[in-house]
Amino acid sequence: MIEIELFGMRMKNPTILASGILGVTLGSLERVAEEGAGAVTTKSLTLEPRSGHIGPNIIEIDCGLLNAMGYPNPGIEEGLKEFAEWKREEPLIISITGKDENEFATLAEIIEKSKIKCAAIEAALSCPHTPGYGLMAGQGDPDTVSRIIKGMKKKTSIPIIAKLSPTTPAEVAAAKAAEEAGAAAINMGNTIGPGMKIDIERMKPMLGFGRGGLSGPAMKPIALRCVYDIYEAVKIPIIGTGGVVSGEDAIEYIMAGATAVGIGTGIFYRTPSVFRRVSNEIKEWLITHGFKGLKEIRGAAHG
Amino acid sequence: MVSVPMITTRITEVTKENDYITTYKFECSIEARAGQFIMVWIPGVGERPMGVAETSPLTITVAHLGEFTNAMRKLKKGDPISFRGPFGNGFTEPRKDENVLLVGGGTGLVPLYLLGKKAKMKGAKVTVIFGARSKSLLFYQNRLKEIADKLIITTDDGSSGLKGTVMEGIKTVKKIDRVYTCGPEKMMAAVVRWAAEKNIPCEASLERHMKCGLGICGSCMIGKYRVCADGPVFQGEVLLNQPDFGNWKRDASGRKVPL
Repeated sequence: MIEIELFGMRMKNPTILASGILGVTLGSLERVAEEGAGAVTTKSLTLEPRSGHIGPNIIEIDCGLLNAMGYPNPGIEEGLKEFAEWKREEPLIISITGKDENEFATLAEIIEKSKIKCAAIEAALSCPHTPGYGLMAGQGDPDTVSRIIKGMKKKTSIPIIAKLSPTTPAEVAAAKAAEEAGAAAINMGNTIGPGMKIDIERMKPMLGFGRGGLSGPAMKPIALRCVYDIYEAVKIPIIGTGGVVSGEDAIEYIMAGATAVGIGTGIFYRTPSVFRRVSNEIKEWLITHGFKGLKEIRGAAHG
Repeated sequence: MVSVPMITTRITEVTKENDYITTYKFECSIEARAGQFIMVWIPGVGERPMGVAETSPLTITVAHLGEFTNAMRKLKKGDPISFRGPFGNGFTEPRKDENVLLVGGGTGLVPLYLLGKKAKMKGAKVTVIFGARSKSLLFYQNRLKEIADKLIITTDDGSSGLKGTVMEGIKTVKKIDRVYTCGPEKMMAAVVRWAAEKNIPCEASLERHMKCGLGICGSCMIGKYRVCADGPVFQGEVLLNQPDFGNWKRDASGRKVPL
């Protein structure tokens, strides 16, 4: 009843582990799949290994988390070795991030040549707190989005998901640019901000990097509105990511037009079992409201 | 409301245990089970997990081995100190009539001391095996006398107690109902295997590169387990099913490196 198809990728439910939460190791992806995720996304891989920012890396605030991990990852080569062992039926999405279109293209080419069994490559164009990447490298701009996706398309036939920020004023234009450049789906979105928390006793920003992306329930209305606007502007499917903690949150995104939902910070609030719980809650809501499937409610909030 | 806030307090006492190990007493107390940990924050340097030695007042004992712990050497009585926690699951406390064996290596002894103290208060019989490379690296000798019905010291060079690893000490113990271990992972792997052979329930507290402490960043995985949230204490049989246990860990980037 809640199974979906996302650009040909079959999922038993619409929940996807969002990139950047767990996802460094194969074991963590297997765990999340066992806990009921419909698909999983790896932590973003870069050309070279990165240790990430100094701590604190993630701090709790009212209604959300602030994080500044700084893209720690073992690099594309080690990362692909790790994830090549993925044997489960849930689709595997490999997230990548680069400093410019050449790096994105090179990463796409390496994945294509590796023959790894992955359902999609997600291009993270939206991190708000890592110098040289995402928003700090101007990747929220529609022209840049277009150049990066086009460059990747030349190197791979694997479907590409453009992961965009809900923080830029050009999110709809960026989504249209990604669609025109050949992206198979839009993932809206990433954390918002950057934001800041100051520890008043130490009189210093609490995050090691000072500033970080805001995730969780606090940002859901913003990403949800972006999904709503993008749904009216593009034909490719949308993954709604940001503050999904319950089945009701997921249903809101689907009514705004999302085909699937990303879950990350929800793990903090409800443990890794959040995937199964959200799925069950969606199912229960559909049953009590007399619906037979998600298609009946997708985009229902429009018009 | 924030569920585990950052707390800033002051250091009330700094005790040099030996050239590499220092104990810091805080001006506050916390509720924590033995084996739980706190994340200590030094602004501009970072945040690291530290085992709890005492809860009232909160006390930690630190080996100065890396950049963060060496920055801690500068901390003096009266300085501010910040932390979040406690995090993690902690050890299962023994029953009052049980014979428990605590096997600690280096600063792995710290959470075991708190467990031993709680076990002793309950009326359990406590045997401690404390392994170090040499006599100059031993610490907590007076604390251990308070909690141990039997104390066995082992040193790699034989400068104190039995010569060799903690396994030399283990050979001499009898009638044990439960084993707890914390220390270098290869040592713990040997202890866990020994307990499995003898069919004695065993728990081990793991160390991995932790970044968030909240169970979401994925830096501290062993197999399918998040050491910060599902651990750091694991049942021996769970660990024996992990190919990484005693063999591999991950660095800050997530690369697999030998232990």
